[in-house]
Amino acid sequence: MTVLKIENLTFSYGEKSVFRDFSLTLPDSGITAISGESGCGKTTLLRLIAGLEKPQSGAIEAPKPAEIAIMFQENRLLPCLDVSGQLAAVLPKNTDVTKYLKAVELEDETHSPIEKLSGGMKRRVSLARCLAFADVAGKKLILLDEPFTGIDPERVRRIMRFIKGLGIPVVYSAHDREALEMGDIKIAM
Amino acid sequence: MKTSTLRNNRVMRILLPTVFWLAVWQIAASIVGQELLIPTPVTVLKRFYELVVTSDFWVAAGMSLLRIFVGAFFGGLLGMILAALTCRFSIIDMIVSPALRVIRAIPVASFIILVLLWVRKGTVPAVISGLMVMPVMWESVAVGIKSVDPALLEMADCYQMSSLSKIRRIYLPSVKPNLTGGIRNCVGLAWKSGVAAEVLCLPKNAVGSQVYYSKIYLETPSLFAWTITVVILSLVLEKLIFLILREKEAGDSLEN
Repeated sequence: MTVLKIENLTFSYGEKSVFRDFSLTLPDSGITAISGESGCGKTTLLRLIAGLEKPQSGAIEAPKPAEIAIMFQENRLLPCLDVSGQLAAVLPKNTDVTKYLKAVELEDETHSPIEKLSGGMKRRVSLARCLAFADVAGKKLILLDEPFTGIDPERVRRIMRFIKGLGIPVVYSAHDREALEMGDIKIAM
Repeated sequence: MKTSTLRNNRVMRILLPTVFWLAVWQIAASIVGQELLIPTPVTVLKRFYELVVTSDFWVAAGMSLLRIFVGAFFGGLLGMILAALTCRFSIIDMIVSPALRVIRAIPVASFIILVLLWVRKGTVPAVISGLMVMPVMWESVAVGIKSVDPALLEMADCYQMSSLSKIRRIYLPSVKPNLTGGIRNCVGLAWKSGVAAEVLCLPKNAVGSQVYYSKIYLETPSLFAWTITVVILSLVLEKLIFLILREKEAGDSLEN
């Protein structure tokens, strides 16, 4: 069983070709890590899978965009909301967000204003929001675009254990070797 | 005293310009020597006191405030609705935006005369205030809506946020600074255009009408006293709006 099947994908931004005859198949479980140099197309690949970009040719067989949870390369946090508010804004009313804040080790910052947090903490809020949304809404695929930027490796390991426990297939991109090593499947672009 | 110390002293900041300009006024009145042309500050203050103790003064001030506030409120509200519509639907933008730009360019006096032909003279100041405020509010809010971060909207779509949630969590925080600025600009504009309409239409119980009657009866001290009234009311109204907006901002930050 596969969660994702890409065949002969071609995509370019204007004159700049990003993918030419690119193919990929992923099983419907486990964590897939994608590595590659900056600008090689990791973000574009995740956006194509999420249906946010349309390929010029080729086929992508993946869950529908409504069945996918994506964490963007930028944090994209909502202005004027505290940490728990960021999660609550995308979840059904009265959903308990403690579990997800604990998972990213931010349970002590529940009511902290977002602008007071460090870069790494903001990244964890963004990650917690995506994981909570995927878990509560029962998504079929989670896409994480460089989710561990600014987070120390020891903490990444603990967060990864929680992600694996969700039982939802995950595709994530990463730069550093340690983060990549935590994937069940490793793909170099 | 150093210039910087002077600038930081609140009492001096108010007292120095007041004393300076009162002195200039007194000197000018003494040089001209005719109360009909320039009355002295003491004569004007005396006349102002005589006016303040009458009930007619308070009725005129209250009615002017009410007319202008009602007009500005509905004009501002319409401006906001139009901003949302013109940003959402390009066809409405194509039709409405040029008309709003024309309204903004037309001199207020032309509007007053025109509106006087269409509605009762007591309603003209409210209509004029509304008409002047509407395009300013429209532009302020439209600029705010257009400055919404598209990345946040994409995130909201991916996370299936409802339209109401998008308005509350993304559009409103983005529009708020423009909205606050728009309201501040509109207060002064509504007041000035509303009083101008009262001067030209002469409704009953109105500050503007009193300004006009003072002029035609050559009661220059009264003209000055009513003008001071207009300035004071404008400042009070502005301060009041600032206070309400500040309270609202403080309440919002507490809520979040």
